[in-house]
Amino acid sequence: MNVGILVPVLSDKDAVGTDALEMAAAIERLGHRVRVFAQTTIGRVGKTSKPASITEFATAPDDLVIYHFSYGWPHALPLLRALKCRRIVRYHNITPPKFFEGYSPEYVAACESGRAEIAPLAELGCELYLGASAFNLEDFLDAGVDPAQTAVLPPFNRVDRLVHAQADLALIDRFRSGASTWLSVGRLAPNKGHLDLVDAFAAYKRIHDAHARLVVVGRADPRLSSYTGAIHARIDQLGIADAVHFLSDVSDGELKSAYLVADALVSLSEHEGFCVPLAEAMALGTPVVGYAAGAVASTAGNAALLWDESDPYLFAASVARIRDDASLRQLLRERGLARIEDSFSMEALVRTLAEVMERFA
Amino acid sequence: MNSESDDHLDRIKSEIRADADASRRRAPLPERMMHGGAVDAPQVARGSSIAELARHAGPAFVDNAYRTILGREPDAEGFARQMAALGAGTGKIEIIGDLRYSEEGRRNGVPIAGLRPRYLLAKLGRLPVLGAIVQWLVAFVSLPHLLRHQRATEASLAVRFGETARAMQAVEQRAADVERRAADVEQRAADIEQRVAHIEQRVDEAEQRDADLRSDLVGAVGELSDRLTRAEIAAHELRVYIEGLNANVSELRQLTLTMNHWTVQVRHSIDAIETAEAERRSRSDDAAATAILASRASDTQRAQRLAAWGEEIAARIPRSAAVIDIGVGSDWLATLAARGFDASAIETNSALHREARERGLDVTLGTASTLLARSADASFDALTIAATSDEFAVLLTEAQRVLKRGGCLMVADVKSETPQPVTPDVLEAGGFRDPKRLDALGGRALFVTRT
Repeated sequence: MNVGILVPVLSDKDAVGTDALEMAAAIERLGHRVRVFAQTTIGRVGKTSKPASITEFATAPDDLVIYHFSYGWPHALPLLRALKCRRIVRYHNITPPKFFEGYSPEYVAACESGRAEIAPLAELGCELYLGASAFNLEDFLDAGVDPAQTAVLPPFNRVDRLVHAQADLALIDRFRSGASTWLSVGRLAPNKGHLDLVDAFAAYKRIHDAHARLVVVGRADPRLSSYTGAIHARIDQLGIADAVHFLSDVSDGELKSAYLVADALVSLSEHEGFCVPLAEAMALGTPVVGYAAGAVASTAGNAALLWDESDPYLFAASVARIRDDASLRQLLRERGLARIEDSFSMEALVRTLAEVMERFA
Repeated sequence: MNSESDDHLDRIKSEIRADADASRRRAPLPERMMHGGAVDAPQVARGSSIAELARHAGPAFVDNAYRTILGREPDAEGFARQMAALGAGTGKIEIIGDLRYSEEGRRNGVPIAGLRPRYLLAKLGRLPVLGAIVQWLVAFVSLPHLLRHQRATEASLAVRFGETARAMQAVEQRAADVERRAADVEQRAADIEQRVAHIEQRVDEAEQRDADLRSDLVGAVGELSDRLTRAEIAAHELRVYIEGLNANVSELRQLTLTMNHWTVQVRHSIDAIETAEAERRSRSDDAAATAILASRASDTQRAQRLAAWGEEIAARIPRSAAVIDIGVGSDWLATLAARGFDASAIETNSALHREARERGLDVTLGTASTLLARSADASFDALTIAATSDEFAVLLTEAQRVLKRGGCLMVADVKSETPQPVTPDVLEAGGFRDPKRLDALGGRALFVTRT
């Protein structure tokens, strides 16, 4: 069976690109002929073809095309309609535009146009709608897709590569001291909850540990400069600028070191389709404290301290408890490692993918 | 149903929530500014009183005044300025009024009952001469209140002094505890130092063992190198020996090839000799056969003679009996066959054999004794033999064996010059009896019966 992987923009640096490339490799190992189609490529992604040629590759009715849908792309619907083969929509979730209101009209428009494609894609009647989480699939279920035409496959990831990377000793030395260390991982975007994060950290610093520090790993988007400015303004207002460290474009070794020195990964995102940093933290044994919004609860399961309300004092007290309670730390670490093994390891993902491909055998 | 660890986690979360609730009251966070820098509408306390505001003292008074009147934390400069004013003796009323009637305070418009007149009075007190008179009058009017306030202050100070003394005692107790713990820590540090020294000693011992092992290894490597050298020398000698063997084998192969060639040559020679011998024998047989057939043809009485012999044979053995002839002749064999006997013959002459076969007779070419020896005991009723046969004595012995009891032996062409004596005595000694001689028709035959 010919399997075409269709991605509008394929990058080796983001979660969508990682999922598409690893999925292609796994399907090829299952014995199918695979080709990747991308309009634009960034970084080292291997050989790709232009999307227009996909109709010449997936020609038989038994062939399969998997479209990775993460934002609006005007060519998607005409291409998918022109195909005579079976189709899967792999949905990575599009952030609702409300999060970007007041920060970036460009992002608002992009999110609106992206989410506007959900209904027509649902009406296409594709053979399968494959979400990275059950939360993701809610958008297509709300658009009328039959639940029997849906399935969940967590995103392929490079957590294994992170775990086996050589840690950056300089970063460990920089942040290794008796003081508490909070960690946040994720690009600086309004839905990621950075304002709540700095509030929670400030509360922690005032009440529990005046020497605590917050390490924020994530790239700032120039198109969201007002949001980045708001974060820094809040940090200044709270008087914690000396304790907050921003890291961007880190290597695997630096990221691993950040997880290793952290007392906890604090994830206060208000909207997540999966949240790969949770998996990374669990794999590296870093306890997780978070706000149970979006797919965070389904990703972390019972391996994290999650709260249904976004209360900075709850998050601060949670990190304090983790720091003081060795048995709690151990419990969360063991649960996290077990969860990775059962659900998010490469073996588990390939197993789930094989079950999905069985539908198309 | 929750597992035990889930219940444990739920309990922990309850404790965390309680901790968070307590923290919220202790360290409130300031309101967030809207993004873009615009200040959000402050959530100020609507309305207050001079008594409420003046209840606090020092930094707490300034902080509370800012929060209540301006709805925000005091900025660093403002805070420093107000604290300096307090330190310089400025009254709280004046400070409260300065904040309330500032541009920011006017915008917020927090009502504070009775502030304006008292603020004006405070400001009036700053005027030269008139201000002093005003302050004196205010002080005189306020004297009873001041005395009451002083007594209350004395009482409050006494209470606070007691509280402070108790707090100091608690601090001293904690300091003593800290000293004890510090002593414990020092002791533990000493223990750790001791352990470290012990570990260092073990490390030294391990390093020494490592050095010894390295030394042994060097020695072992040297010995191994010597053995390898000796093994290489032996291997070289073995190679030389094998090369010598190969040379000998090569030479032997050459000799073998030469011998093979010579053997082939010898075989060719033998084959040539055997071929020549066969040809010579064939020519000899042809010549002999020609002479014998010519002799028979010239013997005019031969046919009759053979017929008479045939009658004698027929009188001795039954019809269809097995008769074998050696050397009497193909015409004799034909006579026997005509009489109905199962007649066969052995012929040593290839030409005569060929002649007899052409006549349809049962004749075998070969040495008589050899072929007769292959016959079973008592397998013939009669055996006829020419007296001139080369192996007569041997054939006589065989005749006794192959003839049946009562069988007939005929010796034909018995002459005085025959090489072997064929007398009744000889035949009797050979196991035969009742000899009968037929001398007629130009030939003699002797008939005997096997006993």
